[in-house]
Amino acid sequence: MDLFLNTDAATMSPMALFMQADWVVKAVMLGLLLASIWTWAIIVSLLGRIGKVRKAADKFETDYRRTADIDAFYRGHGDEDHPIARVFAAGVTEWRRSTGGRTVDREGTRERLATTMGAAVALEIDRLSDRLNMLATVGSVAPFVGLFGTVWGIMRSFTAIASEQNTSLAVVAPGIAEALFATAIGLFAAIPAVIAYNRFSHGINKVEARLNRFADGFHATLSRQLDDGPVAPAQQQRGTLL
Amino acid sequence: MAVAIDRREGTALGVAVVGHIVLFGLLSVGFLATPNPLKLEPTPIEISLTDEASLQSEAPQIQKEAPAEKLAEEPGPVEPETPPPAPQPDPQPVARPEPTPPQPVAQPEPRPQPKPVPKAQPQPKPPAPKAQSKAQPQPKAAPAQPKAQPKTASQSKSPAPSTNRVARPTGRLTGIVDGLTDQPSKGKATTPPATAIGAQVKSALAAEVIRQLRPHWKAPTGADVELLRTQVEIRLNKDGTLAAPPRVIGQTGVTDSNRPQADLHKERAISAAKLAAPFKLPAEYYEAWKLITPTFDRRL
Repeated sequence: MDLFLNTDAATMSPMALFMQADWVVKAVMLGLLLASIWTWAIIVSLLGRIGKVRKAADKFETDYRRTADIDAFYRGHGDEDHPIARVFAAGVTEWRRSTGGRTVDREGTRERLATTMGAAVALEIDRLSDRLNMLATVGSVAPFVGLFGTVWGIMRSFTAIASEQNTSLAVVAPGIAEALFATAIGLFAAIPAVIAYNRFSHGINKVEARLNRFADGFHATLSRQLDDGPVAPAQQQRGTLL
Repeated sequence: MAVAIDRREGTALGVAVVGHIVLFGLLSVGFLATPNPLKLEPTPIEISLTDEASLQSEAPQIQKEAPAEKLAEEPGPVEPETPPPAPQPDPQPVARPEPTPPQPVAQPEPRPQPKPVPKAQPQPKPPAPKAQSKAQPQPKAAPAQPKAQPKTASQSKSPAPSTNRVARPTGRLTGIVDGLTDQPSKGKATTPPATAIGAQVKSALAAEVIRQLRPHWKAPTGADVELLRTQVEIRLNKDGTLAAPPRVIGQTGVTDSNRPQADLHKERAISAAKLAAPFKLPAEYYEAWKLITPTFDRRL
């Protein structure tokens, strides 16, 4: 195949279409191109992050089920840098705070544990879905922006017809092609954004459900521990835990 | 949305940028350009527009019955009492009224007719070319040859040979058995090239001749020179070349004031005719343009 730089108007070359466009259409195209780049950057990074979160959660849960000594487990895994470990760490931190005093309010401790771990889960999900709104915005707005560029370009083409008083297709075809290219870029940016948004929403929902399940399970464990034995000497008893 | 980009997002951004550059670069260098291997070059097609159909059929007449027997030609001097069957005046509007001298390419027989037919049409003549060539040696001796047929295209040929046969008292027997074969002869039909050449074709031909003459025609300048009209007779071969030097057959509009230019006008008309040759005219209508008489005036 011979490679050459297509710059004549009769080809599908994006470069040629961009170069002969009006400045408004050029701005639209540039913006949409940047949106597309940003979209794909988000897609690539989110793919990696969600995959990593899942893998880490798998490993963490497996280890958590195996361990009998939560205290030792916390010392080993408590400072790991992934959502499920942070939720676990938040729960343990709250347990230590609530049961550190002389008297322990069992109901209050349970509530505080639930609230703290729920907040931790919400924080992690917020961090994960930070970029999702960008995907949603690009997916819904990019077609309109591209359409704006197209409408502008076609208006310009028709103005050219009126000024040249020449209705031959060769006069208007390049302008219309260049205008339609704006819509093409808009769709080019929007379609992956919409797909990725739906896909990552689903993925993040699953991660959230998983974090909530883990938090509930951990809360149940801590709550059971809270019920066992008198709270006051729990300090010594729970030496294993804390 | 925080625009803080951590390391992982930076990597992803780089991947996205590189991917876009590669994609658009490929599109720009004709990666998806559809090749046009056929190179469909539109070849120009010559078209001609026909305005109307002529009222007269111009198609060659196809003869259904057996072709005419070639009867023996009458070689000897024919007695004068045989009248020409129909010495009708030529109804053709383009027939030139001026009595031109015998045409070298035309048949010899129409000369004694009251009105010569310049556009000699060979089709009603029963004799085949062979007979015609044989008849050539005695053109003068047959002043009223009965062969001169009426020109109506619809007329069948059977009456003509019969009159010929009656008027054959010569002693020569050549060809006398030609018509007596017991079976009709095959082939050699004297199918005319066209039953008639329509007025549309004639006017189109005249316009075409004028068009080809015009680039070579330059009228002289002078007082009253626009009144001059010179008619030139041009005889053409079938390939469009001049069969004879063109000559002036008439000039009108000569006044005292433009008399000095009259001869120049003739000269230039003749030279225009010479320069315009060879004419490019449709060969199938050769009968219509083998003799053309354009009239040169100031604008042609």
